[in-house]
Amino acid sequence: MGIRLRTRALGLFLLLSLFGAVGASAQPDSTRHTLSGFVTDAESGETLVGANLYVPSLQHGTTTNAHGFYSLSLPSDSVRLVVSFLGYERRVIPLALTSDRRLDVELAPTTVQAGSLEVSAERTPLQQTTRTSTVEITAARAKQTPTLLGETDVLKTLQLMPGVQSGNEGTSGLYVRGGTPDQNLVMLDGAPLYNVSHLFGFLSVFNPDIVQNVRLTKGGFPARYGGHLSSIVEVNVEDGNQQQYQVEGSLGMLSSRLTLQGPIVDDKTSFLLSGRRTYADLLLQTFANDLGAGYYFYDVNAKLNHRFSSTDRMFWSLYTGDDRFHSLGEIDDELSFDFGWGNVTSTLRWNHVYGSDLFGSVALRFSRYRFDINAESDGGDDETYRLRYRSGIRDFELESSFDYTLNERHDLRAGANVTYHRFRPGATEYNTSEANLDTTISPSEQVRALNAAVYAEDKIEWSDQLSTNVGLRATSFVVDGTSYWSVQPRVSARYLLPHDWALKGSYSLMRQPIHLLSNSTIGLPTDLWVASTREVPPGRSHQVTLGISRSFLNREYEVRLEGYGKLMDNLIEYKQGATYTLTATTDWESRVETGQGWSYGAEVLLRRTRGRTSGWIGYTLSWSRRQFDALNDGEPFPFRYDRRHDFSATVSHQLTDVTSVTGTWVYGTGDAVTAPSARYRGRKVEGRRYSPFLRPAPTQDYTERNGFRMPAYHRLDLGLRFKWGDRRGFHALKTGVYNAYNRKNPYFFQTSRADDGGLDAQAVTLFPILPYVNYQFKF
Amino acid sequence: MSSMDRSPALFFSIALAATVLIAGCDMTRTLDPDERDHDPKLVLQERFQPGQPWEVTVSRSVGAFEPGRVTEEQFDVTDATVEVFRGDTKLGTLSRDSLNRYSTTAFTPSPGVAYTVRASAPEMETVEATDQIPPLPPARLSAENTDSTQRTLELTIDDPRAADNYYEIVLEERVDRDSLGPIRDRISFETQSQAILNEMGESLEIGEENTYRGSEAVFTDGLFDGQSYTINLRVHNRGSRFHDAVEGVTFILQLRTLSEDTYQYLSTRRLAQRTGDNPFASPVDVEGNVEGGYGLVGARNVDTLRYRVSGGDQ
Repeated sequence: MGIRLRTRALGLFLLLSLFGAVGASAQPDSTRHTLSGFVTDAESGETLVGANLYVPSLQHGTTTNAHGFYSLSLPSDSVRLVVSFLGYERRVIPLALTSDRRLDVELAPTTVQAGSLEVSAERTPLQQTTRTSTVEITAARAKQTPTLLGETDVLKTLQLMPGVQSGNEGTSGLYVRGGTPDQNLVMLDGAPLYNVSHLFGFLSVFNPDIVQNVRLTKGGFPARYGGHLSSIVEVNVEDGNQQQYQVEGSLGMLSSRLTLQGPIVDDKTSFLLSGRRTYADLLLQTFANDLGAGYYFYDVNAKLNHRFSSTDRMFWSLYTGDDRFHSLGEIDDELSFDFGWGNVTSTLRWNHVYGSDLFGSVALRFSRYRFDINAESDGGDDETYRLRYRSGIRDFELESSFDYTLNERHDLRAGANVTYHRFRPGATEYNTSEANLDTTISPSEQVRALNAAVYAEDKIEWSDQLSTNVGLRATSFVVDGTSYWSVQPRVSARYLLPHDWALKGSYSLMRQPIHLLSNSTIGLPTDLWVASTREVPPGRSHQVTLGISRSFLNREYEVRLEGYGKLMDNLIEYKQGATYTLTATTDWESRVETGQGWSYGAEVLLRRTRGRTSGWIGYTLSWSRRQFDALNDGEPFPFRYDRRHDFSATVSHQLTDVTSVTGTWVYGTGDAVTAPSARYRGRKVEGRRYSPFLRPAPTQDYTERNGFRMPAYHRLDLGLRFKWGDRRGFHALKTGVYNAYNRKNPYFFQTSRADDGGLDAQAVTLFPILPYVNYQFKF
Repeated sequence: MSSMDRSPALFFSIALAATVLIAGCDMTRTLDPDERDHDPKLVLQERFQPGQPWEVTVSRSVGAFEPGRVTEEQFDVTDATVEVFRGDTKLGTLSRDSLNRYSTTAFTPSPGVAYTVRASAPEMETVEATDQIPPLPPARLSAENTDSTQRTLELTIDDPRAADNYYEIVLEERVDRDSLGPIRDRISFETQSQAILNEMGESLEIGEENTYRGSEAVFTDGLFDGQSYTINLRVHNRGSRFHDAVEGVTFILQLRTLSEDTYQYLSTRRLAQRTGDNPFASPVDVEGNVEGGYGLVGARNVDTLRYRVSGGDQ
């Protein structure tokens, strides 16, 4: 209770401070005017998210928001406005402001030869922004990175950044600063996705051909974000070319992609339609027809956007994707079995420019994730049975946000959203002709929850050296008559040190009202999303960060060094021996323990963002531990992915106008695993006839949970790309090898009884050296 | 880059980097299947109950990945010294018997008394365990719903208030035959008792979530603390399988009250055995009470309840 009171008092204080600061500075200033507008691609008409606008003489600037809109408060004076964005020609625009003014800026793509490097950078000067712990990558950069079977995956490229760890080899899960993948809020154009995996976790659901950029926030969360403890992953998709039709696609070893986009009404309406499908099932049918099993996945993205006027724009977007596995049992021909999972999310958004200093957006969103299993046996008239299992989560969300430039020192942002969740933890239906039984065994009543949030944040320029972003987020989560309220303060600050170094720090409190029950670490579809309950409250984290950063040589190089500490509580883990079963998902609270965790560490990123040779080196030193009263005798134990050292280096070099080479090397401390340290003789079972040959099996002793380490992980990937053409149309052939020196990295650890009766520990390796080839085109 | 060289932040960076690199060189154990550096520990196994002799099995642990099948000789400890204490008072030293146990009949345990068993052996750490025999509650066994195929036994326990009580039941059947003599064996029962399902119900199959089947069960009084609680045990009538004339069948139910240590050991061991082959289940550590070693010196109290059915009712 005391902590809650203190939290509320702190929140109230910050709120008063926030509005006090606003009020104090909200004096009318007739000598200043507001410049606002959109920044777009000159060729396609697409808005550019995160484009940088900067007035060097005033050392004042801003970036476009998630909808490409900007607003700048400038003095009534003649200034030079520099507008820049990665991959585009920089524009310098002289201005003489005498009144508020609307200025839409078109940027032309950089006139470079096809195949030249396009590397992500912070789109605002690193020293200027108050945001900490944020990294961005472009899809173009992700496409250059050598990957498993040549399948580009933006999430796997994020794994190469410091502070982000991969889980099991080859999978897309992100473990951010000691958190688990369910603690990441992954959004596709603002819509949350609950399972971001295809192919049992080996590929993410994001089609790289339509991804514009990906931004990962690991800490220092602005108040606009919430609902998850560890990170925010924003995947922004292109809107659709407004000027011309485009076809883009790729043929790979695992799947192929095709994207169409173009105008419906010139400069008014455009569309984007993109699809991807694997042909694993077709290959299996052709080459292993007697296997009796198949698997496929597909995903489809569609987007429509229409500009009603210079101030009003509407978007509709859809994502749908499914994975399906089926098996016709070879032993029993009558038995068929299949399971599948998939997401659907659709968003309708309206953006409106109320004036030069106020931008608003309203969105209505639907999101659904489901997992199902079907098993059917037809043994004739005598005996048939059918088993069906269903679980999932369905959301309806209404969200609005406003960006308001109050004056040259205050940029305000506020918003609210309300989400109606319907959880279906699991329902099993069983039908058998033998017992004339047709029943729902585990009906698992649907759980309905309402999640509401309001937030406000103010980016304050206190001086040329000091700027802050102060915000508050208030949330309410109501489920089954239980309400959880929270006020979450967020503060980040930047102070310019001598020699253009920026010192940045932040604090953020996050709450997560939904949990993921997971038996695995690879994001299997059997993972189950559940709402907090009276017994299992929402997770909570406090995180502080402190770091310095700087870019050099006209932003060609950048250095970031950051330390962090994170406390988490109300984390859940399965009880000893508890495991997910289809029949018992309704009483999941009785199967989990709640506890706490903490992680801390330091991250270094050295990056070269331009030139024939580019890339980065990332290093993370970290500790992450968990403590549960009912596990490990109540003693703290290492988190499964407590990775002391995590190193990655990736480099691309443009050999010729057509040819480029890339390489990536990663190294990580071995994962923590629980392994037996001793075995001892049990006691013979009482009351049973005793035989010296029927001794009870020895009991294994596990000294410490996650007390052992698997061997270190390291891997080298190499890629070679040939690309002909120009920006508007090209052909590209990509080839390379994954795990170039065939390191036998452990995928998981298992114990088994050896032939001689002893116990064997085996680290199972999944991927040896794997070559790949991939063809891409665009016209 | 020259500006960077002059920067105070550079010194800060170097100092911080050096600090974290040094701090990062901590020791972790890398899993090596050939690792054989386990130091053996003593393992004690004993379930003591009122009036019964002390019979402590002493063995040693071996490394988890010791190659080859571990023989009984590798486990056996033949040169241990095993002593029993009541409080600080030593009651005596147990001697090794023909069944390789350390035993005595010179003194026997009593309810409500805490006993400590201490064992030592050359080149191994001395270990000890302490436990106390819990009291027995009043209990009754009856039967109803008799028909030709099955009958229902009713076990009623008057659970003592204001204490966590742990129970174990084991069901046996003795068939008295006129010509070949009696046969006594464990038999299975089915029950829908929620107290038993809560404890034993993990491995149920689809369609059988609400039934437990077995010849023994462990449960707690969590659902009936301080109350009278009846458990129905459904058993199949097996008397007709004997061609000989059956004089009668006696159902023998052992109601055991367990100490908390004994309950924890049995629960975690059962869980470990049940989930040992499940790759998705987190490993289970069997919770013993032997300080410095492994195993259990656990106390229990036993009440034997009988219900006889005469031959004519079979």
